[in-house]
Amino acid sequence: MRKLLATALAVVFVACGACATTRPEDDRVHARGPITFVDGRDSTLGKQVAGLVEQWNLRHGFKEQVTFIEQSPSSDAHRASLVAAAQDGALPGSHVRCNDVMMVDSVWTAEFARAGYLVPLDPNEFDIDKFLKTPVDNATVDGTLYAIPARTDAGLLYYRKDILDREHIAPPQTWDDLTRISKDLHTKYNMDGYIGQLARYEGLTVNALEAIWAYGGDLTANGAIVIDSPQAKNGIEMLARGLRDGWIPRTATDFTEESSRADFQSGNALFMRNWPYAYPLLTAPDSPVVNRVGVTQLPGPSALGGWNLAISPCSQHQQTARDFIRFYTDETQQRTLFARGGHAPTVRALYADPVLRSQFPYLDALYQSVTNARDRVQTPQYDRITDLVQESLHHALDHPEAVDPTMTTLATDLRTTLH
Amino acid sequence: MSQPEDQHTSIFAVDVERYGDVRRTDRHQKVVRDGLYAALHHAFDRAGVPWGYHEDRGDGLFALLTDVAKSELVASLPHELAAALREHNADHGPETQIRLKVAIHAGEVGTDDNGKHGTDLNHAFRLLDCDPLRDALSASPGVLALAVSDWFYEHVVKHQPAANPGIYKPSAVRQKETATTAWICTPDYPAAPRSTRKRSIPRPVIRIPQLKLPTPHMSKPRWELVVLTVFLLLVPMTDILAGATPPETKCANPVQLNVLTSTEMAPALRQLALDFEHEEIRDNDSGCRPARLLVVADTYDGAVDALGRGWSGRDDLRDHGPEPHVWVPDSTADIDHVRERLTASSEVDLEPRPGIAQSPLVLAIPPDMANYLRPDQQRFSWDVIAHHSRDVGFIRPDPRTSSAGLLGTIAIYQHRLGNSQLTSTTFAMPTTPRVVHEAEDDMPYAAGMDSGDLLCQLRNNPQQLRAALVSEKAVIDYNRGAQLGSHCSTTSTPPTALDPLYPRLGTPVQDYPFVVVRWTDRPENRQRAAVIDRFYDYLRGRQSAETLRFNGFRDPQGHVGRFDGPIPELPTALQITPDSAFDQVQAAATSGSKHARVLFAVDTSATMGTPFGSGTRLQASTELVRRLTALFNPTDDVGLLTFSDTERDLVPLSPGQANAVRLAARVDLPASKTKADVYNAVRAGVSRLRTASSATSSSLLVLITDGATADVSQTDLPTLQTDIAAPTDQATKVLAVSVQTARCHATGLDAVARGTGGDCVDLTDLDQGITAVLDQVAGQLWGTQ
Repeated sequence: MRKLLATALAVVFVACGACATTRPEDDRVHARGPITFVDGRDSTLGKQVAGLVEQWNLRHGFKEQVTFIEQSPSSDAHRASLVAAAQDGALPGSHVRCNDVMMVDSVWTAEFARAGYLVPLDPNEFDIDKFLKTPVDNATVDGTLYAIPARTDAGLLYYRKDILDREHIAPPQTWDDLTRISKDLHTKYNMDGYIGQLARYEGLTVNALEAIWAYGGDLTANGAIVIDSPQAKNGIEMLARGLRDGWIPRTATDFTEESSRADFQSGNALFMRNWPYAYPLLTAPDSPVVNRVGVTQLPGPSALGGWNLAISPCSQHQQTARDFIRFYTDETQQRTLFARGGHAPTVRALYADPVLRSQFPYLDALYQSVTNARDRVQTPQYDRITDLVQESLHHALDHPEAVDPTMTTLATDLRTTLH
Repeated sequence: MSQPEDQHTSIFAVDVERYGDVRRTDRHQKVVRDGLYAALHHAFDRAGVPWGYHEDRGDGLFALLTDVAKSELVASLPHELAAALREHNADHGPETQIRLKVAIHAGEVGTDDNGKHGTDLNHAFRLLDCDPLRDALSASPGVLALAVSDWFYEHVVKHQPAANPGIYKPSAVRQKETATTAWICTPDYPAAPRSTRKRSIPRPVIRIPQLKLPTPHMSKPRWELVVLTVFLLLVPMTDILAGATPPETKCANPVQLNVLTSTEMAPALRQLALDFEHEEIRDNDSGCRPARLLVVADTYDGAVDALGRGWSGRDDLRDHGPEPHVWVPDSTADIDHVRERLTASSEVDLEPRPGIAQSPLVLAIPPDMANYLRPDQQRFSWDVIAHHSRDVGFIRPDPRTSSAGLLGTIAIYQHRLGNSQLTSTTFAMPTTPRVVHEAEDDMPYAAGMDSGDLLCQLRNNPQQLRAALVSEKAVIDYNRGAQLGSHCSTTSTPPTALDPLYPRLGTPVQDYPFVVVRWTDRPENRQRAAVIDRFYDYLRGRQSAETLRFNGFRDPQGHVGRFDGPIPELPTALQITPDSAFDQVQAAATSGSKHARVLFAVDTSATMGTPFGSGTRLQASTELVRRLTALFNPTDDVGLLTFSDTERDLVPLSPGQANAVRLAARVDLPASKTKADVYNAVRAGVSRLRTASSATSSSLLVLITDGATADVSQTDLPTLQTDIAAPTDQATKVLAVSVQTARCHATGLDAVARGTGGDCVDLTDLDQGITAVLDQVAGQLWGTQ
């Protein structure tokens, strides 16, 4: 009987030892063990992210095994999955799998940090000075670092070098240039002039803001909404007129990153705005446009894109989580991810690397784009703002004449939202 | 006239331009008011819109129209109204001329002791009083300027070619606390495109010259001013009630609600989710966002597979999106299908609630096809599909990628098999594969397509129009040129309308249930549960019903929007038992539609001249071949080989040869004088079939022999079995038919045939055995086993 009681007690102790709620906080912070790493779909050529995880696992074995779980390629779905897991994981008695290390869009980092979905990090542990400054600023919320930049992104202008060379035209530097060249050549070559990401999702906000910035407008100025300025309206009207006049195809209003990339890659368009990840895919040996693609900076400032690595408070093995983030962001891995996967590095030194520069002549354009890129998350209510922007602008793109009143209404709505 | 509380209502408000002009005497004003009423009555009558509840406002009036299709308010009504006003003006002098501002909006309008009220009613008046509308009328030479709200434009005008949406121009309206977009047009003088406007529009004809007048226009106090005053008085009071604390500006992160739905429902549900979010924010005192919804569209199988394994697949998050909290499938059958898959240890629990919409399956036909099908009051009998499959091409969506495809398949199989319960017993019956194949032959499915995709394909290829068994919603979308599936965007020139025909008995009805998905590995998130309940209430509410009807669905009561074509009453629904073997239905459809490759190998050796029945063994064999050829259609590959000591290819294996085989397998096919090498014939037959076979085809060697000279002791059976075994994608089955009693086992042909997944049949009497052989052949080619 006593033995039975002792066994029962032991079971209770062991069971409680496994309980998340009873485990002392410090234990988790310094504990090592298997973790889960969650990222969007690995769409790099040759699955570079999966390869990186495999390398880690080869070195660390099953005791600190990293399980790589891919999320939807749609960043909205990726975000929804992480948020739901964070909300459910915080409930007492939950046994939801913990997303120990999460790849978080730079756009949501502040929101996640404020909502308590991320644990604060020590800048010294990650040698924070080696990273580009803008992404680190983005991952620093109210003076605390919450995430480590894993991949930075800035828009690039991809163009059909073969056609521009044949026409003796230099790549456009302004939207006026781009408009003129597109108008001239899209009929001559029977192809689309310009494509971007104009479907109703975050990509639309990015493309819209870039157009607005190029014309001297902005979303906010000193904390106030200024999206109804004449400059901002000019930017959006330019896109709407492009759609009306046909040098931007109607199909572009359904394009996301991947659909626009596929369209450009099949040779349908002269210019494309896209992120750096498209470069290795467009220039792969089996790409229909291999050797016919050029890359330059956008005609105006780019929106800062990028992804940060962060740790969930539910993680039981945060030491391993931090080690894995350090591994992911060390120079060797960043070099591989860029060279093979097209992920623009967050480590500053790589942009000056002579070998990379000779291999990837567009690295300089990329560096300029990244350093000039602007953070679009200018307020804590960004998620609400971007939803309103997407909703009203997607609608306005159909009619150039609707742009002016729609943006006036939008600005009023945004001001109401921001109180 | 009394109205029920808070009906979703169209609001039609009008205001006479310069009604209070000093030069209009009381008598003039009376003429104007009478003229206005007469013109409105006349216009409503001519447009076929019932003249409902209305309230006089002195210089105008507003009408509330509850049972009127919203589209009718912007189709012919404005033109009828303009015509009626012109008629009035033609008979009257300048002081009694009428030019009218009209505002149209829709929403909830309540009633209390003081009359009608509601924010939507206020909104309509703001539109009516807005400057852009006033400017549009004064700039127009016509008699009418019309403003519709943003909601009304998005949900009604835009989808209504008859309303000529292109003439509406957006304008920002800032009026009191309203900031919105109004869509304004002058229907009787639509504005020319912007570039030419300056030159082509004549100067406005102003009937009453504008004069600077000292007396301000004092109309009777407007009731919305009263409302505003009360509101302003209330504001300080509510502040006192709330205490001195300023509103909390820091919002908690919104609850994430992930919704999974079908490709068909997704566009409408995305719109409804956005509308719901807006309402939630509006109703939230602190202006915070209580919930954030994500609507993910997936195919039938995508959703059923992922849910059926509890979202535990390695790549489920990647390929099917986040774990859903709510699932809105197209039909209750989807739920039963998932339950068929779920095991006791699954971490998913489904709680279905009554559906948010309905859509029956219909047979969509081009009008000229009615000559063949002769529908009776838009009803058809399932028999017409078998009877007319040679004159009319029938097609249906894929039972793996859409509920419409699965429900249509179940309806057809139930009818063909004469069995209202498709359980695993049904699919174990020997006759089932033959019946299923015939059904698939008469109405094939379009691989990978749902109703919308299928009609999109038909719209893009009008020359190959066929009768398609699709959702009524897709037919409505097709007929009004709306977006179809994910590949056909809207078209301004809809093709000839399709007529929807309804099954006389047993219409499969999609019922769009709302399923709360519970995950047993985590406690219930109460906040989310509350959002789910509110979202469900919203989806079951009037405004959603309106939006759903607008999108071509029927509401939960079965009412359809005002479209030409659909019948008003929902037909009797087909009963589908929850115990249906859904996986087997899908598998039967895939197998039953396989392309067949069949080679007949007939023994012509000397012993085949032995009497059998009323003739010889050989004559019975050729008779069997002739009867079996009836199973094949012109696209199937069929061939005939005879063998004794050597093989002869009488009809080489190729498509469309069923008739040639029938002719070649003639009664007087001569028997040779030599012995037969049966084993070698098996090897030769299989090798002919193996070339160019594919995964989507099914290959069968039908070997007919008496096995008289086959000596199993003289042959190396294991080697033969190894030779004819093949990788699965080139698998070739053997069906041996012995025309001499008990030779299957004696010759070892049973072991050889079963080794390929086939069988050996001892045939003792042709007439008695023929059905079994037909079923065997069909089972081997199109069965799921």
